[in-house]
Amino acid sequence: MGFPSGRPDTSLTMLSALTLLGIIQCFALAVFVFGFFLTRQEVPHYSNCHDSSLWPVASPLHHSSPPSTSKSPCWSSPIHPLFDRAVIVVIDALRFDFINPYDEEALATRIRQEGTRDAKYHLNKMPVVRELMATDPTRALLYRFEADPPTTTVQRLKGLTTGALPTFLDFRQNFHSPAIAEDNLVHQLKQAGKRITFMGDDTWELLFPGAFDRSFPYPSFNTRDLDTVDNGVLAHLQPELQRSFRPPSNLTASETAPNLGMTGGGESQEDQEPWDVLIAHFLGADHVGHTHGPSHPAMASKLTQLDRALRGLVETLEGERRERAGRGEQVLETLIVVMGDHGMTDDGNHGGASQDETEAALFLYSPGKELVAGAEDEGREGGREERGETGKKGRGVYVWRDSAGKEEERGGLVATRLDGGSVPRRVAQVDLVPTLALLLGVPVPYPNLGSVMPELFFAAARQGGKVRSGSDASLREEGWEEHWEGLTHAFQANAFQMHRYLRKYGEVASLPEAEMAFLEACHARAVRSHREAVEGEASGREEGLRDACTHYRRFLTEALALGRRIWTQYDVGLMLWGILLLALSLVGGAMVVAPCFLPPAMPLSRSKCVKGSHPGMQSRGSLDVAAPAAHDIGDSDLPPNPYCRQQWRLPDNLFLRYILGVLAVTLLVSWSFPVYFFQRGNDHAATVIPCLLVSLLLGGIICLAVREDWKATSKFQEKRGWSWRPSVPVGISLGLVSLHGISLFSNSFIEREESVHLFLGGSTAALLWVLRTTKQAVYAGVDNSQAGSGGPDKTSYKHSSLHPDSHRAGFLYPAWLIPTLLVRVAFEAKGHGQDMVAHFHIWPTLAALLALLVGYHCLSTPWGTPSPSPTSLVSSFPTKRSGYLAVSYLLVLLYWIVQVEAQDLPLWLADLTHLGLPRLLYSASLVAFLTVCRTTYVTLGPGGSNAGSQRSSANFCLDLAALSLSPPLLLVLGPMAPLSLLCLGGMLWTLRKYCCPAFAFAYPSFPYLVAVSFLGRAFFFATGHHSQFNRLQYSSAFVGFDEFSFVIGGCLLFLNTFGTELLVLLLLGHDVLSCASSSYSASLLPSLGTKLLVSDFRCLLTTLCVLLQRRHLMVWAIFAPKFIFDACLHVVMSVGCLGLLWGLSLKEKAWRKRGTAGPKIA
Amino acid sequence: MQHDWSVVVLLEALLALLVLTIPALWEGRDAAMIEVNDSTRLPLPTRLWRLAGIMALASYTSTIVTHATGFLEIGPNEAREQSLRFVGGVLIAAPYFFLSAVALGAPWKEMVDRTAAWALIMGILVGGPLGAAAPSLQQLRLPPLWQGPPGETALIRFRALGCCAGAWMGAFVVPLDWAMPFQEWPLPLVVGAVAGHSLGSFAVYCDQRWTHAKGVGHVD
Ligand SMILES: [Zn+2]
Ligand SMILES: [Zn+2]
Repeated sequence: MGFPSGRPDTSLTMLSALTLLGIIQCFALAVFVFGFFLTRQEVPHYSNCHDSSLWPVASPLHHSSPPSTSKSPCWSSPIHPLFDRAVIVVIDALRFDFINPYDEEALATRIRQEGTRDAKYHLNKMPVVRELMATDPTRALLYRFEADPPTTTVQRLKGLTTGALPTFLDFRQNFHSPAIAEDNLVHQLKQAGKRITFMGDDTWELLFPGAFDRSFPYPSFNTRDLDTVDNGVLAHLQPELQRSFRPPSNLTASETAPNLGMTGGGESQEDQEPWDVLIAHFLGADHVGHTHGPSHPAMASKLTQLDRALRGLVETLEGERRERAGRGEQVLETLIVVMGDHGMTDDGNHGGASQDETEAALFLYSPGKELVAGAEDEGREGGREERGETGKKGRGVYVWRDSAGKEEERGGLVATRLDGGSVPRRVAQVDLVPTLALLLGVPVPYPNLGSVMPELFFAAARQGGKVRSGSDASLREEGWEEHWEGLTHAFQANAFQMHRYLRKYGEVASLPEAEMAFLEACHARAVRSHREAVEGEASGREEGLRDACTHYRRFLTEALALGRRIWTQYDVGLMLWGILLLALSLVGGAMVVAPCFLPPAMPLSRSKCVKGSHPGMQSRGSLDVAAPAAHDIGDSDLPPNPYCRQQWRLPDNLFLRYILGVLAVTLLVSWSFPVYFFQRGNDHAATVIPCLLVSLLLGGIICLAVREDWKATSKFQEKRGWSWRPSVPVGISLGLVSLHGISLFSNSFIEREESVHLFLGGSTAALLWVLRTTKQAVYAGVDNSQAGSGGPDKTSYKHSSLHPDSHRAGFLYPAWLIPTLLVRVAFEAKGHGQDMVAHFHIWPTLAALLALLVGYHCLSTPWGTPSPSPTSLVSSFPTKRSGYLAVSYLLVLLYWIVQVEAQDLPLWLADLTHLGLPRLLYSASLVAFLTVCRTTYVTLGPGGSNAGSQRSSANFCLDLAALSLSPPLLLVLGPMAPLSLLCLGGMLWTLRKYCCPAFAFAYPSFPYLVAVSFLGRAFFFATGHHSQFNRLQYSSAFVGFDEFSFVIGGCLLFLNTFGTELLVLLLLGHDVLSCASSSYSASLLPSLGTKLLVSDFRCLLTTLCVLLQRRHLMVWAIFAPKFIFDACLHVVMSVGCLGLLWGLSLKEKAWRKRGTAGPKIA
Repeated sequence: MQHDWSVVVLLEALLALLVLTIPALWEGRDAAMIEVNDSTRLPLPTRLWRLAGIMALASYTSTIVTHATGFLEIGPNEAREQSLRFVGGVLIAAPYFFLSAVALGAPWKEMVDRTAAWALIMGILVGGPLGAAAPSLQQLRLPPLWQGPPGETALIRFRALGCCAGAWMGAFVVPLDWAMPFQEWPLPLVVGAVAGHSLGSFAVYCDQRWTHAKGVGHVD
């Protein structure tokens, strides 16, 4: 009987609706992202030296003394302490406890308490810090250095040079670091004519191209490489240090470090000038963390190596000082800054906001003059009342008191209230920027939000440029006024800069007005008290200055707090808006897809007849297994699902139209105010809600307008006797999907997401198995009973006669277990990504590849022939394709073998295999892709039966998956991938075997699709991925390429991360098409539509959970990356699904148009 | 006759509830105790409670076994055969449970003994009674678990179903980061299984009561 093919556009209409919904979802995700990941506008201004003339209170030039260097300092008055040079040592991932000195007893206690015997590997391995602090506490300061998340190196380097707060969206720049566009410390140093030498992590070169006078960058990408960068830095550090104090006359060509491998001997005299700022970035500790974690012997040796390096650095600089003093030259004051850019978790990763990740260490050391004014006497502090006392020798130490007069900070320490002891103070990373700038005498970078570290500017300025003498009588006579003056001055410079930045920023983008007014008032108050103190009487001067300091400090703190708020604050209105759009589109999608899964009309009498015929069913009506498959299975002469094919037209469905109307209006409304979405700092909820109400109202009006249609629709439904009757398996599968959704709200489940997917997918599969066995049992039972009653029921009879293999169903369970157990093996094996050498075993890999090959060979059928027969398996076409696949797998295997085994190949041969093989495979895959498409579209014309065209579509999916996707995917996934892909294939095959009888109608059952979408996602995890940025397998970007290129590397990384998802999609397409009995667009569309729905639901719940958990401690560490990965996976899958569907639908249409008879659907 | 065994079921379900309360109390008290002293000097109520729990567990197990094998009602020859089938059912079901659990994510390297113990418990609770009740595997599959005739086999089927569902739900507690003692690997699953077991008994009991009453009414 003819299929009602007069309505071929139904599927196209559904597809268009799905596509529209997909676009809306992308838009919704974008809206959500704009509300969640805040962006900060870059202000293209630069601070410069002359700005100091704009300061509200003139700098106290009456203290004039000759500047200590030839280059005159900016922004700092003569009373500032000044350093001529700085050595900045960045030790990547230097967590605070790596460097914090523990005494052995405390360490033993800690190890005992925490039960971490491994702690001995990373604690107390850098004793140089303790020794220096013990020698002179005024010259060595240790801080807890608090990073703003995200704690990734590029973000931190940006923060450490610009002083600006990062925003989460900057994460993308980790893959491709562009030059910093804002004003920054390096730029200011360059402007001031300082000569900068850099060595270490090549990220700096990307961030500051051309900024360094001498540069020794080393590649930073390979985290398994623990020593290259560090050894490079160590090779250059000492020569660079020593170069600086050798008189230029001594510096002959032969002595210029001949064996450093520098660029030849053609250095100009310009290059030989000594450095003013030396930056050394050690990367080893970070890489040890990534590779082994912090508690590992490798970390102990790495930290010991760094300890030696620091010791050498300090000794060299002190030696230089002595030598210069001995020669009677001018002594250059040097500041040594040792810092970590971030910490690491106990797994050795970083990026999030946990304390282990944000708490790095900062260590300041000055070989010469004091950093803080040291207290030789406890009685003397801060120039308070004690000043009046006589006979006590004391030097001022900076003490900060809160309003109640309680001591808060002393020197670089925080006074703890309990036992009077003090601990290292916390310093925000941005605070280092103005501090360093003013200490080196350069302007503070324009967008800085840090405030100077007060204790460093409290030191007596008179020391600047002189060798410190033990006691400076004149200072003591003057009291503390000058100390406070210096501090006020630093504060003023800092406050001026920050105030100017905020005002400028307010011009570019909006800032909350009330807060800005408050800040203005704060600033004005501080300036006023400063001016009063300067212009006022000398007697109350010190008091006045201290007052001004308090106000300045208040302003700076408030400004930073405001910055944190507006740049790390969420726009809840936009987030809600995005979620609402997502939810609406989900409902819309459900309206499109769900009718296909609801049981169609069934005459009441017949259902009673079926039920009544089975005695066991009488008492358990509520538990009846009412799979949709069971009902229309017999009516093979009817269209597969009458509701889906005939009734389902968009105009018939009122509710969907309502939703689409609302969405369309929403889109119009939100797109008509594009500015609205990209402006920050306002509360958008007030504007969002009216927009929303307008949309809903308009939707309602549309709804009213089509009331007549509604009546018609309901009449139609009545006539067909259609009713919503959910079946138990569908209900259970829906329950499983919802369970997964609920689990997203707990970080424990997100952390162990790989198990969650496997568990839920496995459960669904078990459900399918139970259904399979019991359903056949039911029909067998019906058959028996009917023999007596005499009323032959077509449905059950046909069903049981169609599938005589019921006795085999029981054995499918072990068939399911085997691949699943293998997946567990794949989960726990670490062969994905980089662990190539350690985890490559040739025989298992070969076996898995062979199995994949055999599987492909058995599944693929020849094109065009009407029915596959055993002999056709050896006919030429599949053999050719299998042969191609065999060759490419062989090449993949060869590549791995060469990578692992052949260390001593000649260079050209190594290059050939190392680069040539993968590139050959990539291009071959592209060619295969084109060939497969061409074969499907062009070569194969119409004329075959429906079954034939369907088989060719199935083949299209399989060939796309196997021939063009699998070889490069295997290549980038690493040597464990064959096993994983084999498991994937095995699982999908078993699932299909569970469901194939149910497939015999139009499309697979809902539980099957749920199981596939769970298990498909499980393979994202089984191939070593996780919803974490630090689990991206960067090494895949280097398969076949020695250097990182953004486009190619990005593509490979994309393939590595999302390839399995696409593979699952194609295999699902193949399974559905090779099983289902109806036209492929009708069977594939509901299937892929369901998969999309499940993914959309997942995405919606992730967004919702991010919204609700936005104040959670783990939001940046867990929830935000999870959201990004889910959104990306969803978008990738949507694009893949819709692309496949459109391709096949258009093909179908083209065939129908071209063919005279067209593919008969019967 | 009908009421005879339904009372037993009710009693047994109550006992099972008692069993269920034990781990929580037990663990909570012990955790507090161990800090202070060794466990030999537990207070009297705790010791009594523990004793009651062990007794309940013992009686519960014996109920299951006797009930499943029909030891008391049937003659010795058949009883022996049924006991054999019970053991056979356990032996067949336990490996299946073990493998299924591993496939769904249970530990299989470090805590393999605990997983195996859980599989054995499930075998005793599910596989044994089913094996004892069904003369052959074919009969086990036909009719399906929830569509068979009412009566004693319904009890066994429903308990088996409840047991599996309960253990399945218990698994959700395991990954949570509450760090509670009752989250130790197979414990929530065992508790879930026992709870599901007794819930299955309840369901059958209620079903028998109500369906029977209603059915009589309809017939009249
Ligand atoms: Zn770093
Ligand atoms: Zn790192």
